[in-house]
Amino acid sequence: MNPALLAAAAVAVAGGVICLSARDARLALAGLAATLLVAPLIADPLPAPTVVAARVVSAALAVYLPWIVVRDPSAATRGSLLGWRVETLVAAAAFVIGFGTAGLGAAPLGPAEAQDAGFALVALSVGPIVFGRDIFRLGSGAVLLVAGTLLVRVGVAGTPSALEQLVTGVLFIALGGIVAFLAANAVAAGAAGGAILDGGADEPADRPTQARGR
Amino acid sequence: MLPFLAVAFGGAAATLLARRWPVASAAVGSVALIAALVAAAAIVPGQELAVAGGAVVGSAYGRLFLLLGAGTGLILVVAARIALGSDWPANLPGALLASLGAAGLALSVRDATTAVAATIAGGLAGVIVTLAGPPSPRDVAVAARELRAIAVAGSLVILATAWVARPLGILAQEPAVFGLAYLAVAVGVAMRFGAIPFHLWAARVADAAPEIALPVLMAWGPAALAVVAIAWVDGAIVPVLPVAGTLPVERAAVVVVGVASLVLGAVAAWVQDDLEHVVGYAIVQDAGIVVLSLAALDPSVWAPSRAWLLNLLVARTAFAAWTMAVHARFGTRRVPELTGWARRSPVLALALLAIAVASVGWPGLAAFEARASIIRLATDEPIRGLILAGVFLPLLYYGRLAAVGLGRQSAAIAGAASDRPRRPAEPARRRIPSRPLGSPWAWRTWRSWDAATESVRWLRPLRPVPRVVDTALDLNRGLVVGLLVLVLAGASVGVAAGGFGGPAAAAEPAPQLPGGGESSASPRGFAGP
Repeated sequence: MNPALLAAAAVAVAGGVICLSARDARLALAGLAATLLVAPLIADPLPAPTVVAARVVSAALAVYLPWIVVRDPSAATRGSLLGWRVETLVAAAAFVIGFGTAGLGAAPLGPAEAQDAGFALVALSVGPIVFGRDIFRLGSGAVLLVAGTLLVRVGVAGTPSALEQLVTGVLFIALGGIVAFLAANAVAAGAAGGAILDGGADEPADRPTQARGR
Repeated sequence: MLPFLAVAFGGAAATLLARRWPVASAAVGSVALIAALVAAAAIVPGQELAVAGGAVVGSAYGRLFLLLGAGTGLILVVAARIALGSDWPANLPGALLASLGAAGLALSVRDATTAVAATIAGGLAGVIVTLAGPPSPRDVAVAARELRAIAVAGSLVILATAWVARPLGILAQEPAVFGLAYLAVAVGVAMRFGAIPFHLWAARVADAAPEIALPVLMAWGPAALAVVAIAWVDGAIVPVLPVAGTLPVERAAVVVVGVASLVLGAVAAWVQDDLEHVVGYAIVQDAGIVVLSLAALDPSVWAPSRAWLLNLLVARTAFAAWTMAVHARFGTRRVPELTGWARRSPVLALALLAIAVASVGWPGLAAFEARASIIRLATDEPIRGLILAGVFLPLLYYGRLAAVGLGRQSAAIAGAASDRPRRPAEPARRRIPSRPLGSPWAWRTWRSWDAATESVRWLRPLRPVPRVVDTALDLNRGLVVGLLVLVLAGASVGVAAGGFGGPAAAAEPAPQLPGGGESSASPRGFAGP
């Protein structure tokens, strides 16, 4: 294993854990930024410096757009109901599974660390994607899911071409823009903390709060 | 190809940035769509441009796809602007341009992951148009679910394409590998289209989004992903079947999804009272054929499946525009409240007839034959005959709409404007003001129609044209929108009949590309040469 790649993978996964566990939206966004900034570096061979620069710029833009909406110090997300320790354990387990299944049955063209981090991010994203009630958390989960999937792709199929990296960068900017757009609309619609998927939209209003799992 | 991408993405950005000023946004969007139409027409099939270590390749199919997208999109935008006035979804041109740009990129690159990433980005544009009006918690929840569906479907396809895009060694003889990858791609496409049983998010989107946005959300974006998936299955799965086996279980699962969408989509559209839901389920029903085309696993399905996609796109865009026109004209989109609509508006009745012809057709019609070929290649007897009969199920909902339309006009329908052209009243005779008139040699005078026609003696008899045009458009709003819908419906009949060079473009062979993995015995791009 390459220690530098392993460290980068650990930072990416830690960013994912912080993103989904933190209740302070700004801290969550910092975690997402760490993941998106480090993800393009988990590759062997490393992409060209210009490509890395493009990915860094796209990551910064992808995070800056939601930042516009949640930079208010009072902005809070639902955070993880399981707590950061459980999220860390889930990520660690997926990381180990990714290491054990490097290449998914055939010789990988990329580093095992990319697949490890990808598995961990995908595992982390399952919670907000399936049970997400907070718009910001669900959006972050979608970003982590795509980031994790692309890391698995790097792990099994090797370093992407520059064109693919550029399109990936645009994709992350679009994802960040949509998360910001949805979060802004959730706030405008009067959803406290962006908890728009809290069942209120689909369930009868007279249903007890407790019955909806709150 | 590059001018088209520049115009589409640049126009989308400009339109969305100007959305605080609806008139400017509409103007920029319309101009950008016209420019995109011209740029799409200028695409040269086979022309390759090296970009950032990859290549962007023009193709006849990609050109036709984008031409139809920009053309129908332009008519859709103009019709929506006229019909809905200030209530129109101002994000529509921007979302349409972004979606077309992403589709253009996806259809012109040769790498599956890049193409899928582009289609995900294009799909995200649809989320913007879902929230067209003042946001409500329900609408935001629907848009969030849409984001979830796009992310999950895209991730499935990326994982699947990456898994087999390399030398697989002994794994190449393992049917489960290709079966899982194939299933993931098929499920991803089905999920994006909202095919049954992945239709819940699509049904909610159909409820929340403006009817005019449905083609962007549920047809154009998913169709680009479907083209990529068809090419990937043709290039990465079909060639390895002799080694990996025929994947009977996986194929059966995909056929079940396709048939369920084909049959239940039509039944759901038939029983729905809301026209927007009828359009949504009609798209789901047509998507069943697309899913079936993935189940065929036969190189012969290449041309008919791509031809059917073009038919789906134009026919369903016309149907959504028809729904918008009916809603704007009669003030309701509930079918039971529309009794007598066809008597009140023969133009819209003719448009619905054309849409029905395009989406159902008859033996011998290009679109009908394409659909029949897909069903024959994807299914075996004894269910093949039943499924072939099932293609006439849309007659249920078209028949219901026609029966309601030919009924006796209700008071509300009779109160709506008819199709009879109306002339605006003669404007009052112009009175020359007593104040000093502008000089005919001054630029300021010629900036205003009124000032110019007042100050120049021989122009004074002219009517105040802008006001007359505005009044005439206002009086004949329903007729003009109906005629625009009729143009769209006519275009859909043209595509269904094999016009615009559709069948030839769809049959264009995919190029043999260097650098594929051993699993891809015949790696292919998503564009023709």
